[in-house]
Amino acid sequence: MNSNTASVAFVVIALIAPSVDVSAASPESVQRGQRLFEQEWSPRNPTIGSDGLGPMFNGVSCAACHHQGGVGGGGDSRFNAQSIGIEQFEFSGVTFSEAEKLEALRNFYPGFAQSGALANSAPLPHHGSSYAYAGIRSRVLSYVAARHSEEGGPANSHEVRNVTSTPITYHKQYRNRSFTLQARLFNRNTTSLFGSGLIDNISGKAIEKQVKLQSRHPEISGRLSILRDGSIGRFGWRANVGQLINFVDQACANELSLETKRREQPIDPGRPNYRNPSTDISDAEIRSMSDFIATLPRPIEMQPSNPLSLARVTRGREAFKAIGCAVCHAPDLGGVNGLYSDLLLHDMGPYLYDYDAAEPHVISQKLANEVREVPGSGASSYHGASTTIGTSSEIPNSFQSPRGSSQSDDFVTLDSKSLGRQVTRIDGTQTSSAQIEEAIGIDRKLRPSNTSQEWRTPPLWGVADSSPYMHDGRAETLLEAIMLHDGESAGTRDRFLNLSLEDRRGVIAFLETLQAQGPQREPAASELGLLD
Amino acid sequence: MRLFLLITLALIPSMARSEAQTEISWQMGFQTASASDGASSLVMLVTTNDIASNDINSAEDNEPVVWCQDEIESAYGKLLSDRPDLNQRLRLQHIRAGWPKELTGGETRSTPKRAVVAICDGDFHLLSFVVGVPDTDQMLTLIEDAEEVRAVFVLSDSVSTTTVTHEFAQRSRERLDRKWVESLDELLLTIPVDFEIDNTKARLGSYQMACNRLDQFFAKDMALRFGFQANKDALRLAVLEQHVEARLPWCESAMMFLIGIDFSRSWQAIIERIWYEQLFDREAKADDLLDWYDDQIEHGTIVLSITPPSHLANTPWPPAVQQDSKRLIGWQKADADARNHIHREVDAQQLAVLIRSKALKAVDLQKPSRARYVLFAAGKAPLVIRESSRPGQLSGLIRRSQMNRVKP
Repeated sequence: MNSNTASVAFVVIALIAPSVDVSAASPESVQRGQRLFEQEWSPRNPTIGSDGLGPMFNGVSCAACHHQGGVGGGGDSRFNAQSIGIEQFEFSGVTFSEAEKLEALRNFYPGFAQSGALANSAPLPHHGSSYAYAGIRSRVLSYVAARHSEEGGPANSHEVRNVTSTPITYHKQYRNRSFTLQARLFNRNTTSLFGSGLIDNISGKAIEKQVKLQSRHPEISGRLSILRDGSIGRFGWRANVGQLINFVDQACANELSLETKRREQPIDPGRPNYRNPSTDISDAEIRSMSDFIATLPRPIEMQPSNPLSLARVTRGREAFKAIGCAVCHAPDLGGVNGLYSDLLLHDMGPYLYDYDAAEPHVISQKLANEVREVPGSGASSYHGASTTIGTSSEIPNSFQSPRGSSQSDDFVTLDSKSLGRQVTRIDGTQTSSAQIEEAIGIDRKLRPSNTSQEWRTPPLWGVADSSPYMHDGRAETLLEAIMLHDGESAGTRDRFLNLSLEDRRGVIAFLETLQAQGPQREPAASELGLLD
Repeated sequence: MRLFLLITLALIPSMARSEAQTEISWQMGFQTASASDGASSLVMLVTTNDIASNDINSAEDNEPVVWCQDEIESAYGKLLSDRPDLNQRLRLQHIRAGWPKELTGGETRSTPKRAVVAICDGDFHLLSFVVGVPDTDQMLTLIEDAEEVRAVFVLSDSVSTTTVTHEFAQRSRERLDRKWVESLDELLLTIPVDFEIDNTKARLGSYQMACNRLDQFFAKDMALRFGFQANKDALRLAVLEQHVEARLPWCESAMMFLIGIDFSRSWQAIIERIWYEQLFDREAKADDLLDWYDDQIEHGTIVLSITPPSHLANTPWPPAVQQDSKRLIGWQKADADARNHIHREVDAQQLAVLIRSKALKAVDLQKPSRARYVLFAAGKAPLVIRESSRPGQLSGLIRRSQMNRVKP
């Protein structure tokens, strides 16, 4: 690797992941950002510019979903984003042609096949401006025995649990062959954005230090989320976004279908050939929104005024540390006090999964350049990376979604130039052509990991104002959330159960003191001296 | 580090006890109201699996009235300060109903601590109940539910349960999640509820039928809400059930079959079905058994067959099916031998009374396997024959006893 390569790569990283200096944001920018955050977007006529909101979106504004405890908070299950994931499928009987296989999969949900690639997971936004999409969504939801709200997400935590516990079985019988698919509808709960500016400025070194600290705890194995640009993830349930401004950029595209300079809006499965003629939101507007979010107040620990309740909370805080909760829910991180997160990825066990997986476990990375085939389009979204099943011209006869990544190494392209050559690759009986390019990128050594069940430790600050809990909002109460800890955290969960009832209640009372301080929040029980 | 924190934790004084500012007095379970108690009086009955005992004063040093005394008193004290009208008409009673030491080999069992809190009227008609230890809010809900039941429906012998059940099913529907509502509606369609309110036996029959179905929903609910498998995680589930929220939907549904039931006559059956654990009434009498024992013990070895608790009543003994056919036949013969000897069927509670009254050596009915027979001979310690014993052992002991038997 020569020095030019390295400098190119670093420039690319800097462009992808600019750091936000909260103090540098002007009051005007913050004010404009707030306006944009609360603005109700609407569709526009694409023939006279860009198409505005849509074609597929989860809400009409950021604040529509981010509102618990005030503007910028989390949202309940009604505002969950949803995706549909293929668990497995099988074509049996007389051979299907590739076109027939593609058609069979598209008949179930066309969102799996986009831009020539076939992924095992695809978003299922709540709203769509095309009649075709409304029909598709309605058909998919008809397979699920759960009640959905007008807002689009499951009506409550109970319905989230019904959704996630019920696989969808789709069977199509042809004359002498059949297609069987098992899928599942997955949810992601709206995260609170309070204190995001502080999280954005936590150094990678501070997060790395947590990995070393946790090596003292054999049952815990938190790892960094190393992103494809080489930086460390901080945001999102999978920690698959590094910086706040990127999170805003991606949320605009994915949740509101506001196309940005870097992110295409999702393709409407009902109108797969439609493209937005222009961007819907400028970089300056995205930066303003990011500036506004960065100024959202950090959550606080609201100590009860009643001395007896305070004693219970104190006892609960001590128990929280004593049983090991604080190993992952680290009270302080990188100079940010009261965060209660390590921002690392942890295997939470086989019940908490979806197919928008965490980034693979990178154990080393270096800049490199190589000459290689142009890879197929990566199937990934800001929710996480789906698994590529094949391409529209290469679909396997059977498929089962992996629960993890077994890759041993990969190469992430940062910049490339086409060499314009084509080669024919012979792979068994299949032949295909590939473009050749010269690429500069990151050569990564990977370790197998259960990426579909690895989740970032969510910061507990503000947890009292962010029910329901867990990545999909299946836990209605803090007790349920604690008990649903499995995998690495199973030992801690069991130690919680071994506490006396009084101490268990103390832990919950302590968690209830971690409150948002948004402008519109209701006074908490403890503030009224009611915490018992 | 963790050890240090645990020690620190232990040093922080228990605040709940001191939180109860007012002195709270406990009564024995089912102690009747005094003449001064009005018709609006309520009783909060806390049933636990603490060792069955009513004599708290003679208990070990500083042993609480019930294991959750601090938490109950903390919530109860706050309840009374929030609802001062309850001060004069709410009484707090306890029932310690866990295995007595006479039947655990003299040991104290370290099983998860359990509690059921019920609100009854002054005549011990059940008005509301929860499994677990309620906090103040949950306690208040229990009281309000109980008051609503009583206000809507004045309990008397002539009252049919149908009206009550359908009246309160609607309240439950509004509180339960969709799947629980579906299960409740299914139960109300298939299980009879049309009884006189004091027909305890019939009502318990319906309750047991409802439980069979409710337990299936509960197992699914626990798996989805708490990630537990009921059959694999029984002990952890028992601990979790100390928190009222764990079994709340189950209680809300089961209550439809229990509203107004005479709790003083049904508490054991109701709670045994929830805990799958035998409960003991320390006040139980067994005078007939004691007299019979005194008559028979001088004539030879007495064989007592131990009848199973209600939740295991459907498992036949002697076994009807067993892999080892020799063993199967052996048990059938041994049981017949026992019944032809000086024999009587007793339940565990009667056995506890017998051992306590006669100051006999404690036996262990549960470990290493379930006891099926206990043999008593004058001047000797009781001998336990278990499911894991050889059936020939029982037959042999009976044969030897018959050879030495003194004819009455």
